Amino acid sequence: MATVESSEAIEATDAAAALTALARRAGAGDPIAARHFLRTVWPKIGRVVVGVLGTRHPELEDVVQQTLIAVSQALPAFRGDCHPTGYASRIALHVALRARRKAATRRARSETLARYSLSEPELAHDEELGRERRKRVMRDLLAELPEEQSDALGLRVLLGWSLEEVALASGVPLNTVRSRVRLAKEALRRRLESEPELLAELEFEP
Amino acid sequence: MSVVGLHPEQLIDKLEAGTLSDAERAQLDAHLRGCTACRMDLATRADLAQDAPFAFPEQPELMLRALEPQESREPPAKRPSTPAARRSRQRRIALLVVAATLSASGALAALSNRRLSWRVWFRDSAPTVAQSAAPSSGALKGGVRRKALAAVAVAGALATSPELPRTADTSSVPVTAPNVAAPESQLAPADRPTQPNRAIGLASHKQESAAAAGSAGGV
Repeated sequence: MATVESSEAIEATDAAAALTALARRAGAGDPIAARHFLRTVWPKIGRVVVGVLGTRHPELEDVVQQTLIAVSQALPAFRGDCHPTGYASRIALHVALRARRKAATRRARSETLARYSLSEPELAHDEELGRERRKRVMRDLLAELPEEQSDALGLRVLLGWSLEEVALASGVPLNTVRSRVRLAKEALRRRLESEPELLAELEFEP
Repeated sequence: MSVVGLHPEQLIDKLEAGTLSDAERAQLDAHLRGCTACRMDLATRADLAQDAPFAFPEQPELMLRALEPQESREPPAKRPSTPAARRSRQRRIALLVVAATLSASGALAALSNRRLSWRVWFRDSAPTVAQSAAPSSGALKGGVRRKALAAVAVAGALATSPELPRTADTSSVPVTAPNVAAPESQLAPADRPTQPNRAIGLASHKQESAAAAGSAGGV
């Protein structure tokens, strides 16, 4: 068991090193390396963007392009201090959250527009409605939290990363991540208290 | 472990990785019973996992262009300068000069006609209008501008009106009106002409025009 775990760890380290080298080549202006890097990190990036915006967001395609451009443009500044996938995912998270905040501002300006473009789709089942509501609450919270907290909570919830992986991706100590997640969850708890309907749906089912 | 203060993040990580033992599961369940935030965390993870993955966009040109360093981007190629191209450019410049001259002459003519008509109208009605118009602070502040406009009016009248004597001494009149007068966008808000002040400004402007014209030609 220990041998399997250690070999997995070695493989992961090798993969991270290879990806770091690829990121550096891409950052130096190699278009083939850039394309390869973006394809490699795409599953995580795509998951973050879709997780923050939702699959039906009208600007999803644009934000995807903006994210890829932002990652590409940030590659020359990549020093290799953190995991390249984490680096790209955090950039994706920031771009997507910025797009969501902008959309929220526009929605506040024009409720009519929001009713047609950003409204929740008509859902057939209560279960699906509940799912969409939960995701909306989480997305809104991520957009409102301070950047560090939304980074930590977003990478954990959207990508399912462990505390160690978030620490590696963010380049901060493990306890810092733990503290950020705790603060973010406190904010989440306060938010949930203001949503009794959602709170009722979150009844514990062991 | 306090339900509110601390959250069993390691247990959640193990749950995610599928390595949670029975004892740890019981511990996590105990926490989840009292912690809505962790319940929401796990529920949202499950919700998001059901979303279909988003396909990689098949338009890499845009992002690859963004990747290129600025200096490696080729500047737009210069067209070779042939004699024909030079002649064409000179022709275009000459046409532009002619067009600019014609536009300026037209504008000056229009300006002079307007000033002249004001002057003629003002000759009859100026005293009453000038007396009825109370000077506003905005109008007073725009003194330089009014003087410049009056100078333009005098110059236009001298140039076009047969009634005015050609011997008028205009050397003391600041004819460099465009340089002296500040554009409206650069004026202080109080100096900007609003609709009510416009009439007052016009009246006081007419008064000054008349005074300027009077000093120049004794209308």
